[in-house]
Amino acid sequence: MSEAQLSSVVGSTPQFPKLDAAIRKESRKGVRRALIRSLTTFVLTLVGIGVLWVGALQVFGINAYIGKGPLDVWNFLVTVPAAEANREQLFGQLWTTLGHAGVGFGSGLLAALVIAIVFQLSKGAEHALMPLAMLLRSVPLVAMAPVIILIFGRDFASIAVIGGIVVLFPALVNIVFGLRSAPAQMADLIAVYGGSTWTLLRKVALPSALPSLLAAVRISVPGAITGALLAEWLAVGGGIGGAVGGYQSGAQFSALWTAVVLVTVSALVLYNVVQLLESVVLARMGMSDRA
Amino acid sequence: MTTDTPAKGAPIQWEDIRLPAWVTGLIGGIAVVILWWFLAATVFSNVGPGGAQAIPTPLQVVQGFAESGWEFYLRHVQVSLLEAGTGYLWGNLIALLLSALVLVVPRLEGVIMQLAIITYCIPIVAIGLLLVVTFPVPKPGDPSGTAVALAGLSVFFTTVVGTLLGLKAADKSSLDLITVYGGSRLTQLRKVRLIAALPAVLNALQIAVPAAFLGAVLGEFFGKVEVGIGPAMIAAQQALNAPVVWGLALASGAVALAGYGLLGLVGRLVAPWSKGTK
Repeated sequence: MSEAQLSSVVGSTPQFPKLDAAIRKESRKGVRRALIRSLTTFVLTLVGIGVLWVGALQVFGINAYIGKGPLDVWNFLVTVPAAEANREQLFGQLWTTLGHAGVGFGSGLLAALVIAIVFQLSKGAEHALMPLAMLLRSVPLVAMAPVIILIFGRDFASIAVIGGIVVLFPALVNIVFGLRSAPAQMADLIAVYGGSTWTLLRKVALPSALPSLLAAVRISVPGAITGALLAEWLAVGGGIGGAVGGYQSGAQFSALWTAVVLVTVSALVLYNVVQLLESVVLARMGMSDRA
Repeated sequence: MTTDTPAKGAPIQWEDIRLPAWVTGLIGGIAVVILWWFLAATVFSNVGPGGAQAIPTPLQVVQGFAESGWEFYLRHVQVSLLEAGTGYLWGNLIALLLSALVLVVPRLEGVIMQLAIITYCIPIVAIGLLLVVTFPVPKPGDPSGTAVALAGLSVFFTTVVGTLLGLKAADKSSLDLITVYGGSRLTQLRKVRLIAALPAVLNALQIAVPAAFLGAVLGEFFGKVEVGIGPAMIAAQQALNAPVVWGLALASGAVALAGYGLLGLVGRLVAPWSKGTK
């Protein structure tokens, strides 16, 4: 039995207040320790990335006109005379992109959840549609983009569709796996008491899919940002994805590198925040051993 | 879920009829082709710039395939495959080496995981535009460096995650058994850990096949390469030749899936103890 489960059981019986408090304290300490450890790792990795970045530029002998280092990015955003304008421009684009990513994230995850539930309720639907989903996943999105633009137009709907497609497949695979992870005995119990497939889904499959669902949310975060950039680049324009093409052809390499850094750092921070939330939720639910 | 068979004379309960998986799969496939045909011929028959049909019917795609010929597809797929293969090898090699490092220095696990997450967070669109000006322009027919790099970048994350998962999959009691019999950590690694890790690693390598191929095709879209699925698609798009665009898209999907299936078979041969591919 996990710590959280134990504490909730103990907490419900008032005769052990001391033990309860001790367990709570221990668990809080554990959370704090995990937080400090992951922050240290995060900072160490950032330093490592900086070293790798500068090292790669040196080793491959990349022209300083094209290959900018971390210092150039810092200068671009902070010290050069136009820094304030640069910041305003790039952060504005970043916000647009993050907004687009939110749209793709929502639509893709919602579609994945609905499809996974349909698959769970009907095996036939899964057998009929899963191979198709696999094929669709293997077709390059850049090839489908013109068709998507023609059907959905160069606006909001295309962002939702392109971002949604990028998010959909990894999330779908994860959620389907999670829904299946319910113990067979529990399914039998529901069946014996005359419960329907729907009851099984509601009472057993969905709760036991929680760890996979949260993992799907986590891996969808960078996927959604990639999808938003693709949608902007190929279809709707605006945001970082719409601007980078111009930066490249205009030889504004500092801006291009800064865009890469800003997007990577935002995705990284969001990913780690979701991961942290995930571990807190799973600990509360007493499922941390199944993550 | 129901265990009772329908009584004699009772109406057939469709719920109780179970078709084999491949039959439902086939029915689904045929239904989708019919639906596509219907939509392409009716609703979407005149979408597209200047009345050019953007969504061809299945028949037109097959005709386009026959017109452009086997040679055309082979020439373009070959280059993309070479790029995907090179990227696949490098990306997976680095991922496996870094994951193996975790075996020697377990404390590095967090850092290597974060590194993998960073490669997953790097915006492909922006980095592709940077790589394409960094790499030298390939000779006509040669693979594009951008495509190779993007293929490698696309496989790195999943392989690191899969391998680290596999290294943890070792059965505790088997490890204890080896310790009890006086085996060293190396024996543990050789006799238990590697064998237990193999299914997860092979699974990750299998997922990496379509990812590498898609990465390579996307990399070609950044330009400066003359032969490959990407440039062929761009040319067909500009010529408003929708059947060829769709033919190329489906061909690249088929190649990616074939590679996925092939790796699955290899996995079964190498590690028959892994339970399927799921």
